[in-house]
Amino acid sequence: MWFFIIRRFNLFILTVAILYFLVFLMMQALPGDFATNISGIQHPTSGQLSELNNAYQLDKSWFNQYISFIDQRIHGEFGVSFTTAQPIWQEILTFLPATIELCLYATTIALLIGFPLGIIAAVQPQKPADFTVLGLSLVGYSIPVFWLGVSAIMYFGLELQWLPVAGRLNLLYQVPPITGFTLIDIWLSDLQYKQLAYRDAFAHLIMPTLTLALIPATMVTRITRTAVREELNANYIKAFQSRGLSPSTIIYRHALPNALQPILSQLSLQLSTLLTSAMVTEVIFSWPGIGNWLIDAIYQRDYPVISAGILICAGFIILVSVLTDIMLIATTPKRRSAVDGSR
Amino acid sequence: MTNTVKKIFKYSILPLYILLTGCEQNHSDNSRVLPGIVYCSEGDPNTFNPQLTTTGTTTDATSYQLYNRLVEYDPALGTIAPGLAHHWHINENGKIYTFYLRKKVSFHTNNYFNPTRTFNADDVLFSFNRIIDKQHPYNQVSGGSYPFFQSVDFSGQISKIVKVHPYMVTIHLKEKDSSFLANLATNFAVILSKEYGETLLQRQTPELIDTNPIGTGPFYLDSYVQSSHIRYKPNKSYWAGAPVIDQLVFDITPKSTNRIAKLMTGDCDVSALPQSSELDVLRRNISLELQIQTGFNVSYLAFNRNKPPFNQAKVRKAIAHAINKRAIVEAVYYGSATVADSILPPLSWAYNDKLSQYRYDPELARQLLAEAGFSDGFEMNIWAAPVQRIYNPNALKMAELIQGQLAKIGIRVNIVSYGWNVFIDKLSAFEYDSVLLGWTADNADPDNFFRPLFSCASLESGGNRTNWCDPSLDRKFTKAISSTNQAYRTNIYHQALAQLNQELPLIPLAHALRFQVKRRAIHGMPLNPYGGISFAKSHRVKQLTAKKGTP
Repeated sequence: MWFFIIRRFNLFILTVAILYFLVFLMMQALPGDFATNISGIQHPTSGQLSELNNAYQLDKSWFNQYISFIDQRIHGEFGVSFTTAQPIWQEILTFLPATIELCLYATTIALLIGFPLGIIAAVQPQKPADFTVLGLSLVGYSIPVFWLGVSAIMYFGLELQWLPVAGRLNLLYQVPPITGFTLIDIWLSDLQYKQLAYRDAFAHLIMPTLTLALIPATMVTRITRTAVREELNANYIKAFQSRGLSPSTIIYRHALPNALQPILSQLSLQLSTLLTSAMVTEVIFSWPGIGNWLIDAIYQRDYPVISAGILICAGFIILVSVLTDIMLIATTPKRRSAVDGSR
Repeated sequence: MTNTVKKIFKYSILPLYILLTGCEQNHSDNSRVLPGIVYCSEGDPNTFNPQLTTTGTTTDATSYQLYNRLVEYDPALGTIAPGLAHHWHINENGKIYTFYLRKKVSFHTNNYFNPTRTFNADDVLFSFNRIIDKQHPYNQVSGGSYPFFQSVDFSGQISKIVKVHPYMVTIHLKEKDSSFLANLATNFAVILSKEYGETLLQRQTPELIDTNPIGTGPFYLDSYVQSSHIRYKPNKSYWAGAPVIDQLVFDITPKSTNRIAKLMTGDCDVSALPQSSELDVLRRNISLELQIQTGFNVSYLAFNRNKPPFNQAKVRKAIAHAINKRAIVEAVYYGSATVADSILPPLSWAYNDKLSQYRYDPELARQLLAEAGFSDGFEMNIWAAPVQRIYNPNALKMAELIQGQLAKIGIRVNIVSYGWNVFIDKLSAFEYDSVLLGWTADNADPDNFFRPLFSCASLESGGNRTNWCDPSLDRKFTKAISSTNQAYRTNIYHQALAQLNQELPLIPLAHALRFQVKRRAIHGMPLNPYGGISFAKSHRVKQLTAKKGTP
């Protein structure tokens, strides 16, 4: 087991190093002064320049520069933004919670919808229920996020005027950002009208979360259906059936727990899809998250922010996939030997 | 059919909806409990001191919210009204202005400043000396540039400002200037606190005077989060009566469609600059009210006179004849503007209706070009900024239309565009052949259209985009402002307009109407034709018909 964890950890380090190298190359290739692009300080004074020289070893070879680039970044030193002149790490800390909040709720909803639907489809193979679920999930999977978001805005926002279409909370509620998670912040605030604030926050959440939840929900449905069906076809299930166990016991006590493993491993692969859709969703609903921030930065050619965004998002995905890998292996000894031949 | 679909939709989501909204009919009704107003503004202010800028976004966020002026402009009556000076008089030769100041006017108190005294003559001297006195400790703080005051030559105009006693100030002018009072009533001539200035000097952070503002206005600044929002709280001891609303929030929303969407769904109560193409949607929505006002503005195509062939009047006139202004007003403004035949809008008392018109006539244009020696046409560039302005909703589209129209007479146009700040920077270098810009008047005096745009002094302050300095015209402007006789001034302005029409340093294109859109429940917000928005008297009236009509 430890052998495996060390191997995974090495892989993680190597992947991140390559990621940093690619970003480092990109910064070199971008137009403008390298020192400016890497630090975000425009027209640095001679004092600032020598500081930058010191920090990034700009007068040394590219390898030294690369190493000190990594060194600065992993210590949270991402430079400052071109447009706001604020430290980028601070900005990340304000925008990241909004994205995590959105993704978390969307994933929860996706699981709540996708899981039961997948099981229903799996236990009634080739029946109308199966076809309906499969058809729906195919349709859902084919709908582009931006189209769905814009249509929802047009209909529920502008036509019926039921739901707000932008932002996280009506600005009249003065909620100080302590954790960055709206619902927690409302709870922590000394607001007079917490009930109303909650209602407003929920109203703002409905459309973005449902939009973002659609594709993961269809994925969960399909993955669950395949996994559960595979388990149901296994010989031990047939043995249970022949012993006369009730179908619900077979499914909930035996098939489902075994099917969970492949479902989880498949789902962790969907994280990058989720993050990409989250960015689109954030832009459509003016959700002040990391995607919105990054796309604004691209519009404004804010190179330090773009590179920081890439590092953070890609790094996050790599980290999560390695962690789920380790977790899966830790809980399933069967996979350990199969994948790595380790003891 | 669609109705049935709508009903099915409605009822399928009804349980969830009721769960979340607790049977409330319209979620924007929360505002009953939250007496505040949200304004969807179009951008970040560059500073919180309007003395330092001429951009409308900044003055909207500051002038009438945070500050007061000595005198105010009354848009309803078109006259100058008392502000921080409750009374004033001008001596016989028109050179000494005496202001009697209001007593018991308090400056803002908040977490970074606690005033010990009320407003008096020292604050007036502090505010104006900052602009005119190069030795003033605050003159060079935040760059030392006061664009509006430079364009009207404020420091050249004033010989001295004297504190007679704590509540009486006299301003001595070098020459008689009938536009002086109107200039004091503009968005830019705000009064700052001297005590705050001194406190900041002691703390060695003078630059905070422009970012953490203290004024006498109806609101004080609570917090500002860049690119997100500005939050104001009411000044409870405001001298003209504290605002009714609990807070005022500027929701910074650069995209026009987003502003409209927020307005329709209740996240905003008032919105800035609706696009002309959205007006129909807004008119159809019964909970919204569209306010329209003839604007004191003009958009124009200015030629850089130092760049040949634009030093030839014939070339400029040929282009004037080749541009179809009516088509532009239709396509760019969607009819929400009037065709301009001079820089002055017809609303102004100095408007000259006897000017000869440059009618749309490509044949004549080609002929004029040939006479000037360009029978094969030539190549030129038009600079246009990719931002929305009050006087021009879409300069790029306008440039494209002009490109097409000029192609018919053989002129090949390249369109050049930069972001707004870079654009303004580069304009000062006069590298362009021609540029699409405009001007929004700050007050009702016609002088505001002439000196800031055509005087030699404005070449340096950046209002003069034609690179054109004509001493004879300058003399006319000076003559006009040295009199208070309206008939006499009208006569001079008519001559000036005729001269401009003859020489054509720029082609006036359109006078845009001014729009503001708000929820019907918001009251107390008159639309000011000279720009500047005030929430001092705004309040929310309980709605009777908030719900959208059911089918």
